[in-house]
Amino acid sequence: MIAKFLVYLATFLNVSKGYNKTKNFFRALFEDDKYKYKKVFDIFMILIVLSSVFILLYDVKNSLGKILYIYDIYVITTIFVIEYLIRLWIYNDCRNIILSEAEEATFLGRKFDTKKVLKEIVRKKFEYITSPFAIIDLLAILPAYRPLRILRIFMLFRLFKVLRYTKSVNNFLSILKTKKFELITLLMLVGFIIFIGGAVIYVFEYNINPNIQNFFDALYWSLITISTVGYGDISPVTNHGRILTMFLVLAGVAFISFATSIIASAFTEKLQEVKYQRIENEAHKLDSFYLICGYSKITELVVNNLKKDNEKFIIVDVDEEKIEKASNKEFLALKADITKKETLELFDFKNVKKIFILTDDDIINTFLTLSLSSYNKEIITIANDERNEQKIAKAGAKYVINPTKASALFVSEYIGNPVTFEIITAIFSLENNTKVDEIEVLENSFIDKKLIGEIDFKKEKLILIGVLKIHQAKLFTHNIEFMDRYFYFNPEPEIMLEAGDVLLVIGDNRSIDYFKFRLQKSRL
Amino acid sequence: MKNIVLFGYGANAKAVARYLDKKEFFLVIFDEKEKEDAENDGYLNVELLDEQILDDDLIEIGIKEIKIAICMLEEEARNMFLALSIRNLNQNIELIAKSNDKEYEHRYKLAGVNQIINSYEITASRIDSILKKPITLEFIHNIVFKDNDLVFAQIEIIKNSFLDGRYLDEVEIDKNYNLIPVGIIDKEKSDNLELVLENNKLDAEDILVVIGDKFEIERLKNDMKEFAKWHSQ
Repeated sequence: MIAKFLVYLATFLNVSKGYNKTKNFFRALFEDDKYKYKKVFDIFMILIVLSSVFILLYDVKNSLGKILYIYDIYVITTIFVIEYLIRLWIYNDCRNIILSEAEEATFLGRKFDTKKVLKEIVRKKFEYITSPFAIIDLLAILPAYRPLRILRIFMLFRLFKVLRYTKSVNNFLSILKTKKFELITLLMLVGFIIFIGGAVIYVFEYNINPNIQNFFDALYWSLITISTVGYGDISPVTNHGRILTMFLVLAGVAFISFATSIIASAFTEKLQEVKYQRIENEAHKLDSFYLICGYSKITELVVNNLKKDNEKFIIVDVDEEKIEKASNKEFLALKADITKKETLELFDFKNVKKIFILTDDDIINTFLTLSLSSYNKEIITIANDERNEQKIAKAGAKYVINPTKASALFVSEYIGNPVTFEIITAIFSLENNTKVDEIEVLENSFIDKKLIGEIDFKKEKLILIGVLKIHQAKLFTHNIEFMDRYFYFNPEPEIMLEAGDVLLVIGDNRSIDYFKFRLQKSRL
Repeated sequence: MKNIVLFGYGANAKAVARYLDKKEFFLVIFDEKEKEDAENDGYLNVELLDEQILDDDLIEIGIKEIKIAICMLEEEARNMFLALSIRNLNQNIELIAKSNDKEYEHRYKLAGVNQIINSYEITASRIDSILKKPITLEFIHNIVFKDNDLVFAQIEIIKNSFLDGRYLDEVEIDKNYNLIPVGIIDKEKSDNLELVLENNKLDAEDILVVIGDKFEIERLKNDMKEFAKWHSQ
């Protein structure tokens, strides 16, 4: 009967959407660093812990008011208890234990072993209860039991709870964990020397030195000496004792430097890893950003421009040295192979505005373009050799730029048509008060579905160069076709605008910005 | 005598040579192999000079009379030395030099170079334009590099013509000639080319840069001349 109920319950929970959703929500909230609300939760818990410790300290000299008392005893404890229970719940899926036993029992044709299942469930939950963090959690709840004053000291365990919510402290602990063997060896050695030192001074000076009354005093003296702290409340009075002290101090210096070097080396080994992990997390959290593959001279210039405009971007390169260089300039840079699945999974491609592929090697540029074109169509790639331009375009890049050709065109314009050259420079310059700008016709704005003649550009203090239409205007011929759209230069007044069309205008910065502002406003 | 000299025949120089009119420039090369390359590519007018870059050699090729020199040697130090030697021999020459390192730009300026060509910077600013003004970029690319009726042209305002002394928004050259004014050198303000504003006042000798059909531009120029003639009679 119990067995049947357990199997039914497990199957039910297995298919229950609500149950799984809730459990997954809490798992993400408590354990997934990439989940955006985890940080909020962590900060909330840290504040609660800090407030409770503050109350503990305040309580020493002052008496708590009723509100603080209720907050301390009931609110905080309830939150901690709920958190403890939820963590216990999400630690594992008991239904899987039941289901696998049920499956096995059916397969082997034997009876469902309820006892084994319950034992396994208890064992698993007990495994959690005895884990260090769970113990800290439990101890943090205990101070709520007021009759036992000693339990108040456990309040400090609440501070340990902070570790749960701060990743950097956890990283620190995990770094120490990698040197567990060395640290334990060192600790044992130090313990051994303290014991020997204590024993020797006890033998030498018991009854002679008034400060050494028992073996504990001797051990205490030994520890204070070896740690090079040396309070001086107990000091040797015999020559034998002084010689021992000298040895202990020397040993102490050696041990301290040994311990420091172990920890330092662990840090250097792990630091890079921790750094990458942090960048991965940051990359995951980015919204609306540019993905830049390859850190080259051009990348450097491009990201400087992006930075000026406060745009977000991330640089990905396989070369550690280049990433180091980029990081030194405080760019978000990740050492990874962008063609690998695990790297691609780091990014939410919905948030990638454009991809730049800017390595110095055309073969790599082509390969990257091919690999990434299925994720995002907005790819801008460099073709270092003009002959590869076509190939890269075929691989799926929307824009391919050949630096050599671009500069050659620059030179030929500069020599051949200096005035055109100058006007183009002025058009793309961002420093003038006057600018050429692109204004998109927004849906339901005051120019949507209007004839060009109905808009008084003169009054707006704008000069209309032309309009790029998404659909051909009936009865009128366009001058140029590009980006799969139709450009009408100096358009006829009878041409109708529609949402998505883009006006190319010249005007004073303020006039353009004001026109754009009114466009947005008219949609409301 | 040709007016333009292109130094070097490396990857960058090759590209520049392709976009220049063959009749207008000649090549000067300091490397035997590059000379061979240039000749194979069909450039017959190639001078091979001593790789030491000697002033006498430069004088011999007529550097003192040449209007524009483009220094495209691959090696930065040699290129800079070449630019400096040329400036020394000819104060009025328009000097263009390639440099792919921003660090050297200052030194090139000191050497008297008028325009530095940094392909990385040109590429980066192209990318910037793609991000900020993609349509403008395409539009200009179409006018400048593709064969269609639209062109950029500069029109000097003739004294006593119907544009002289009028405001840009009064003359309506967009309606009457289908031309859009984009830039102006307003002599009253400065000698620099600026983007137009609708309230720019046109005066004799100002230069207006317009976009439009070649024939319409010619028509405007002719009308201006005729009006001025008629007006002065």
